[in-house]
Amino acid sequence: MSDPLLKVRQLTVNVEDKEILHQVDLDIAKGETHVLMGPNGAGKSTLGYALMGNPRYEVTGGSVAFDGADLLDESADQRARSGLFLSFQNPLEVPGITLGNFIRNAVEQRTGERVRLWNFRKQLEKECEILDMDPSYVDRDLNVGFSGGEKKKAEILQLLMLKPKLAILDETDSGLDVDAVRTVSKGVEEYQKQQDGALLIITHNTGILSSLKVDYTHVLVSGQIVGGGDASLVDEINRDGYEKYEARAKAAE
Amino acid sequence: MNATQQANNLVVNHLPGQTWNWLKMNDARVAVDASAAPLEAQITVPEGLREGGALVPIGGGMGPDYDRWIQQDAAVKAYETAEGQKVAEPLKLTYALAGGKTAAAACRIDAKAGSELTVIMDFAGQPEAQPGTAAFSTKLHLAAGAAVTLVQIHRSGAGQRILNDVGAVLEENAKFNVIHLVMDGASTYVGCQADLKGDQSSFNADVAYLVQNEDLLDTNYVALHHGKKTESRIISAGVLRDRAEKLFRGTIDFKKGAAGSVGNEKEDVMLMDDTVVNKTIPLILCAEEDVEGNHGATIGKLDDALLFYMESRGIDVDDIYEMIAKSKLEAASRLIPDQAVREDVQDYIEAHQVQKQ
Ligand SMILES: Nc1ncnc2c1ncn2[C@@H]1O[C@H](COP(=O)(O)OP(=O)(O)OP(=O)(O)O)[C@@H](O)[C@H]1O
Ligand SMILES: [Mg+2]
Repeated sequence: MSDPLLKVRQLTVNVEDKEILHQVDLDIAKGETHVLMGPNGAGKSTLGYALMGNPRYEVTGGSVAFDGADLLDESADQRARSGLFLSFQNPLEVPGITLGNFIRNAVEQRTGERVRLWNFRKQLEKECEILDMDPSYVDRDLNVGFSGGEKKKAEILQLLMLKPKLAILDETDSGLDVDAVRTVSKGVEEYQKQQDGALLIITHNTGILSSLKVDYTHVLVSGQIVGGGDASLVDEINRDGYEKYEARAKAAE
Repeated sequence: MNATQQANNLVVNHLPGQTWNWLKMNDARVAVDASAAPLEAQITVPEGLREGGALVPIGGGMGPDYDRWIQQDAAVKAYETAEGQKVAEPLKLTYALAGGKTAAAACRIDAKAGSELTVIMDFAGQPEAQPGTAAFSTKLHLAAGAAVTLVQIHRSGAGQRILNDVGAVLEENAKFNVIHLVMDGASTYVGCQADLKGDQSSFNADVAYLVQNEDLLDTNYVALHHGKKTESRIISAGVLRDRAEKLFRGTIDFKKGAAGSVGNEKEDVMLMDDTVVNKTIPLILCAEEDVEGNHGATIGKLDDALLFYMESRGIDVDDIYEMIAKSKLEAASRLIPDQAVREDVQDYIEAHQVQKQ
């Protein structure tokens, strides 16, 4: 079998000199959908940030290969250009730069070509429609004054436009109403179908998974992967909680 | 000759009031050639606007030293509106600066009662311009109820030194809007003074700038509130990077008798490198009790979390800086009332590579 798209081995990550992730292993193949669950503070966002290359998250051990290359050697913008995407749990506001201009710049960086404005505009409008977003948002400053749900939709709009190989969605469903969760789930499905895109979905809920076929579920507790299974694990955890896994994490310490 | 020697070193952009002790910030000194060549503009005169008009002397933000110097040699253009005339199209003066010998141009606008006019001045550089100095003086009289918008676009290129003086006197209910866009220039001095002489007159200045490399921007905006219920608003937004230096003087001066007047000044400056020099002197002077003067400033650096967010979409640090710098200029360019000029300026901003060092 060929190498997976993402291959994480023994990844250890510090935040402000405190070890948050301990020797994490994770494989994601092209086109697969993985779910990452875990209690608050387990280190899920930390894993997302570390993979994306946030300089505040210091990798102190292990390795990450992405699409055959050593990811840890690259800066965040290089990782993005090589096809990694992170949808932020809390997207930031960027005054002065419109959503449309921001995406256009990002797309030009990703493809290395100047976009044709007309085509770009058409595609944006199409993706907005999928996400049930008013196209006028494109001309507003990025995330400035957006509601929580609108910010999340703007993240998925960027995902659809940037067409990465692997997208990490960090609680993209939190703060969305029921209808919006369904819409966003459809948007994510669209990405997966068009790009044969792989996903690592960090979530506490099943809503965002409604349109997706989950290949694998991982459980992260106290910075360690302590379990895994198929799609049914999501329901099981939502029913029984993390007790069983927390005991495992304790035992491993 | 004594006058010549004096002319070689001008005191400009002096703060109102002599009592301020900030080291070297009360004013700026500029050395200039004793004489200048008249600088001609390419001019588009809108239908119905007449040449002519006589103005009594009007003070500007650069100050009397500068006035004396530029009056000797400047090429002068003067226009007047008719009473109640609403001039639909803007008066456009485009200067193609070639550098070399110091050049000077003056413009006088006599806006009669109830008239409306937009004036757009484009300080553009020629592609192969030599380093040089260009000096401008624009003086305006706004009679009762007149409304004038003055747009000045600084885009002469990296080698030019620009001296730009604006002075206006406003009678009752007159409205004066100034839009200043400073996109480049080795050193740029801008002085802009509005004398709100008539009751309920108002002055509005929107300033946007990008100063980079070793460039300098030295400004002096002054609102003199003489009339009752007069209003002023001075808004400045800009970006400094590399070893750029910016000095912003903003004065709201409430004179005795200016009861019920309001003045606001606000500055928003983004510092992109630790090596920039950013100086701001907000000054609110009150000789009248019943007035309201406000000053606000936001001095920001690009924060790490924001930087990472943008980088995570594949945009590298230099490009992020460039986008943010351009965004400030673009916001100001949207205020340009003439579509053709606005689009041209936006193209210039778009094409303008922020220099990477
Ligand atoms: N920038 C930071 N500075 C200090 N501590 C941090 C930082 N980022 C994360 N941590 C700590 O690391 C641990 C893991 O945080 P992380 O945000 O990864 O959790 P999470 O699993 O995403 O939780 P949630 O479900 O609440 O989003 C927490 O104890 C958190 O306080
Ligand atoms: Mg989290």
